Amino acid sequence: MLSSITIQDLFFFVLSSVIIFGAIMVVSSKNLIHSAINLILCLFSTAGLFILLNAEFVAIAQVMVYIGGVVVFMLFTIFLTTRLGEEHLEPLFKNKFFNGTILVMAACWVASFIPSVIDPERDQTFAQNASLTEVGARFLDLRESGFIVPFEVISVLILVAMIGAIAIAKNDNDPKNKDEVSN
Amino acid sequence: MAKEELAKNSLEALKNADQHPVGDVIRKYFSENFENEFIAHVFSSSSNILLSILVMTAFAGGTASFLIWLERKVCARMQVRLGPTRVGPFGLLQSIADGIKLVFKEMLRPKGADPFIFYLAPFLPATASFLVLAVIPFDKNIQVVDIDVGALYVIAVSGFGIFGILLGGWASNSKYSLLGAMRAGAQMISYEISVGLGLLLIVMLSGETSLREIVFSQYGTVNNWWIFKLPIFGIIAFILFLISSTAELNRGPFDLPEAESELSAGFHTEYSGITFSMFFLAEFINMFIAGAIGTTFFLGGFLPFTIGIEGFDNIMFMIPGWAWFFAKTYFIIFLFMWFRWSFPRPRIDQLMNLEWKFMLPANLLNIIIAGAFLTLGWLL
Amino acid sequence: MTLSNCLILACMLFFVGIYGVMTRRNLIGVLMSVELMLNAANINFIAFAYFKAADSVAGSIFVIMIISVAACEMAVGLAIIVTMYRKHKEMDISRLGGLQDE
Repeated sequence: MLSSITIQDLFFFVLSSVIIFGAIMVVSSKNLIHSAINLILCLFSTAGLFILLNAEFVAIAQVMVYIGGVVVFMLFTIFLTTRLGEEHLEPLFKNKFFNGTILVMAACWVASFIPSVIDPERDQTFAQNASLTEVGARFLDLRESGFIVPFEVISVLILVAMIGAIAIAKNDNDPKNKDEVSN
Repeated sequence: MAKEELAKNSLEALKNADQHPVGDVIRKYFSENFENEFIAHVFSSSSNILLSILVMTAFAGGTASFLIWLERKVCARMQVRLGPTRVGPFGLLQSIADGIKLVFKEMLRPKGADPFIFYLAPFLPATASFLVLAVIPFDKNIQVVDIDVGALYVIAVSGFGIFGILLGGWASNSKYSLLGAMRAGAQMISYEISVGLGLLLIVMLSGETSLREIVFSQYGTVNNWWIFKLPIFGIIAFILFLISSTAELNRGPFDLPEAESELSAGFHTEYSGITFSMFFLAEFINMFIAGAIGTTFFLGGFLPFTIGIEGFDNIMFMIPGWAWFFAKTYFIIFLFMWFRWSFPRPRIDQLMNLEWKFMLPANLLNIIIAGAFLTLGWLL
Repeated sequence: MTLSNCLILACMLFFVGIYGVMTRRNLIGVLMSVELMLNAANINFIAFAYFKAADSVAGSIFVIMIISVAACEMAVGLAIIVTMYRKHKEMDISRLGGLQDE
């Protein structure tokens, strides 16, 4: 029975524990900076899970965009909006119901490993590694199976979001900021 | 005779060179001595991983202490001084003495600082640097792992070092640290784009993302190195890469985050002892990594300097690849040091203007024009 | 590791995210929980692409689109948060009820 556990299973067990632990810490820690650190942990182990599931490029994109971009911007926003030494806000209800839910979920999760250990026959048809070249070729494919239209839509969306974010955050109406600009 | 020599140095021979000389020996040893395949696999991979971690840690420590010594020597020479001379020959052991002093210093934590983040932060930049070292091809068969998406991996993981700086600056509970951290974060995240675009040009033209394959795509004479292969774009891209990686490394003249005259020491004002030395270590390893990435992408990596004349080339091929790699890398590192001790420091808004109004458009134009030329068939 | 393991993991991650959205009072905390939910969706896409190997590349492509949309959402969301903080000096969503009946 135990011999049917592979290295992949062990890695999945460790990574998923870290993902769930990180996620619970994100929603339950009082300090926002601690939440951000746990979010990094959670996203990073998700990237590890993607590598385990043969999606190398997605893992790298996850690390590059989420961890290198999104979480850094979050940290910046936290620095800008919370003062040093300020008492951080507590969650709305900090009660036993929450802890109970965590326990039940943990139990369900451990139970979910039982079929994979017992079940002697598993699916053997796993997807091959979706390499960078394949993903790129598929994105720019003009045929029916290609994704060229969504790709263009996403590009336009990113451009619009970038301009929108700058326009929102620019704050022209505040008279205080007008004479600060030098150079 | 000459024909055999050339065949030995051909592209195919280099590519097919024994790729994992050490790893294969260990794998063979364990598979011969253990009956159970699973256990042999676990043992061999874990000992391979441990070995590579040990080697890379030792290498990183050695490189960092050597670079600190080099930096002080170069600085001293440019200011017509002698630099460290007392400890060891030419003062070579000076940084080891400094390191021992730092390790035994007391670690101070400011009042009100968050202990967990304060002690976690110094190790994040060092971790990121170690992770990047794993994909750098030092020679045709000296590389910890050759992954398919190496170029993207380098960009992704080096972005991880920002966290150490941001969190360390925040956790110190000091206004100098926080301001320094915000500046460093803004600067690194801006200039990372330029570095990434510079590397993207080479990825686009070579069609490879594995660092080993990128080096092999520059096989041939010196004219095949990407810096010279593209008529003007290569040199422009290399110069832009140098400027932006200097800024991403937070090195002078772009050392705004730790501008002594304004911010005492920036994000590591409150750090002392081993925690400070971790930041310092990461900074110098990052300098080595920037040099190594520049070498790999633009200067032909471990390939020798050949000019197409048979006798000369054969002599050049006799010098091992790692020697070439380190020679080119230290050339770029010397350029970084030269910048640092020659140029005055710009203001923070000038720095941001340089990135967003000059470097980024220049990089984008470079990529667009090179791509258009490539499509028209005027390049390569 | 089977498909159901991955799906249960994603399901739990999604519900943890929902819990965060409901209970967090800081706006940035809410955005972080939304990140968790998107992450759960990503895990599902990749898991289906891996175990039901009909078209492995499409899973990656969907996830890349989700990641880029999430990045856009974060950029705009954080810009709105900074502007709101400038105006109200307040990050607590229970006290940001300017349009509500008094």
